[in-house]
Amino acid sequence: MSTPTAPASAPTEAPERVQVVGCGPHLLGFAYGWARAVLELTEAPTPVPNTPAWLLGVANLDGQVVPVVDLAEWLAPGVQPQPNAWQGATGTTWRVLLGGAGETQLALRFNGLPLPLPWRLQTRNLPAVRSSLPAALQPLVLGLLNIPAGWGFRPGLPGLVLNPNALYEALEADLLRWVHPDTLDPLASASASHTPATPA
Amino acid sequence: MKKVLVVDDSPVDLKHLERLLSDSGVLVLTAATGAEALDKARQEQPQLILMDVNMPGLDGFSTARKLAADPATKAIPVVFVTAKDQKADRVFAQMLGAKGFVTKPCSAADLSAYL
Repeated sequence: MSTPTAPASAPTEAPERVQVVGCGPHLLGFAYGWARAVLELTEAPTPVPNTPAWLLGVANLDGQVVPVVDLAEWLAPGVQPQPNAWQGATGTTWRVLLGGAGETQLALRFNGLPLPLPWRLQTRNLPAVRSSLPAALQPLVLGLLNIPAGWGFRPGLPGLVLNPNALYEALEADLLRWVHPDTLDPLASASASHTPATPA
Repeated sequence: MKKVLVVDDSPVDLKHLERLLSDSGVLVLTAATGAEALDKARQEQPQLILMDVNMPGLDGFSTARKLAADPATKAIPVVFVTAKDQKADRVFAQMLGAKGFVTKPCSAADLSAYL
């Protein structure tokens, strides 16, 4: 009668899956629990006047109005080429990663092709990599990701797995900093006190 | 009698708002889509538009932008009545020229300020 032998090593936890997209010089990964779809916008987002350049507009995605964000512009304003003007279905279209749920959805514009990858938390080189990143990005990074060769990304460039909820909060905070409070208050106070809002 | 156009793709919400406004002595016009709202706004010239944001096809923000770009409708004030309640949504509404922002579910008191 044979005795069962113990496995040589304990079974490892199954890796998460992340969707990796290129945003300017960065490769950003988002867990599948957040990343819901890769879409090609068939219509130009509605531009929102007097907002920062990183907010490309708001798009109607399946009846839900979602902000469309250019993270490359957010991380390095004016460094990247200006966002391409919308040229319609026959010209340049914008590919976006749609993530989040309910009222906190985001559509992140990216360049190139998306790359789905398995991911295990890897933080060995994180402090060194983090310190080389733009300040806005540093607190959002959960861990690093090895990108396989042959996907058109710069060899050796680490992928950065981000905390999407923290990203949403950072973008919203930046939007509220950017928009002058005096122009925002009338609406907020009108809703709270039931007094008519004054025109902007 | 004040004429108000209510725009919402949800028949339930549309009926609710219609009842609230009728009880306040308002003449209520309704539209279930952004496209229908553009037509009715041009034809009926309401004094106020209460509009949902999340709608299939032409959403509330896009509809407001089109209304503002049309000389025949640009003077009509728009108030968004929506389940969206993020601060960013208020900014978008403000920057798109809205005169108000009411979060659903809303009461007659929420709307009375705009009537």
